[in-house]
Amino acid sequence: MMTGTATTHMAILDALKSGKEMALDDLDASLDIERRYIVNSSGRLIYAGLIERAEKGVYKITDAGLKQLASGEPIRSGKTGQRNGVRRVRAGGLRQRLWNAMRAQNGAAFSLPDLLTIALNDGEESAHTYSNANQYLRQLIKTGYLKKLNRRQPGTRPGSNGFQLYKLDRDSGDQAPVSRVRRKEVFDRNTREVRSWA
Amino acid sequence: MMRTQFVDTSNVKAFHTALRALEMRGANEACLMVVDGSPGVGKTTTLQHWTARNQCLYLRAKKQWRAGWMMNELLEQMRVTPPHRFEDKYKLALGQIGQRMDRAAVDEQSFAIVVDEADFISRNVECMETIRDLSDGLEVPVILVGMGSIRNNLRRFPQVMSRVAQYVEFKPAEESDVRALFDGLCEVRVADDVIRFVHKVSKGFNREIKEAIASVERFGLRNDPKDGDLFGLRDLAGQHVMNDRQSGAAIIVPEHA
Repeated sequence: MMTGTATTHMAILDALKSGKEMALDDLDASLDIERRYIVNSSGRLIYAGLIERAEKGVYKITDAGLKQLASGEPIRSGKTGQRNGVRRVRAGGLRQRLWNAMRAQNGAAFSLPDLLTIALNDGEESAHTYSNANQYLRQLIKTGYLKKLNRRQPGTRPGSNGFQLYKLDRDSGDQAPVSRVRRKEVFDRNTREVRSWA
Repeated sequence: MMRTQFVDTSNVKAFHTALRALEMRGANEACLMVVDGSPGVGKTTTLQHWTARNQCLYLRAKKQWRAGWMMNELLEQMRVTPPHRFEDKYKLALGQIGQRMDRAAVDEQSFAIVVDEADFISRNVECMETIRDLSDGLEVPVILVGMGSIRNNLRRFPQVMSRVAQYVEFKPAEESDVRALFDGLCEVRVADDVIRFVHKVSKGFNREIKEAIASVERFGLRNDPKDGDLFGLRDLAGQHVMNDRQSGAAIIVPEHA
């Protein structure tokens, strides 16, 4: 992946430039960035020695961080080691595995349980995973990647309405579309296209 | 709903053993693997489960496939517009597959081209020779999945046959597999007599076993077992568990069981 300016890293560093300690909640409230990205970037900034953890969930800029800001040089995102020119696609994440499973259906109809049987790893089966996968499917429907069929797969539980059947309508490539919930959009890494559901 | 677990049956284990052997193969050009077996023994699900966590190209062969059409589908799978000339298609495919193999190597994942329903092309010299050329050119593993005629048909092409490093035959499930499927997928617990009955009437076909699991679960979630906490055949007497594959007739648990 190409490296670019690490905008989240820069925003966090900028928020801490006064030298005062700031809690994660304060950073979350003051920055227009999803909390999980703030958490992720804070860890990387600590690893790079630009900020430090005063206590759990409380951050403070270091001298190196101040120097970085003063230099005006942007922090670069991405890999820190030697690059080999090959773009990475990880098939390890649940959503990538779900996407792979949808593509492997080769145009056939499938339900969410069908996908989960193929995509879940050992011990991953939980209500949380089910809801995560369901949410992803809904986002793909709203952005035109998936089509809901007028058929349902029968369920076995008493009173079950069965399971919705879907069909992959837009197979854009081997990389799973990334959902950006806050912006109500899906980013397609294959076509570099953004599709909104707002 | 049946659980969403993927169950490691003896066929799945045999498939993974063969994959490991393919990776450790002696001759570099022996990159082909043939997976065959009757319909409904779990070949496609096993392959889909494996391809979902590795970087593979998954193709489904068509009856009318010719080499050009096959190459077009292969290139479309890689999101590349196929050129007109076959030579250009072949060169482009080599380049694209090479890039994907590098990427898979970086991620420490396996890479293979999987051709499902490969019986359709196993007599087609054009398609088989193209697969051989692609496989030889990049030493990319190609997994041919079919229903049993691939092995015989490949005898017509000794140059292709000699490149098959592994054969995996998906066999009907054994009684232990039926038990593993019930334990892994069914939300109600069943006694051994149910396992024996399902094994016998399903003839070991996964598709029918899963049908039986859904039927038993539907009954079990609405009723309590007569004694103990396991459902036996007596509890299920008179219940429709599956349909016979040949005749389509309903298979019902006998009352005297």
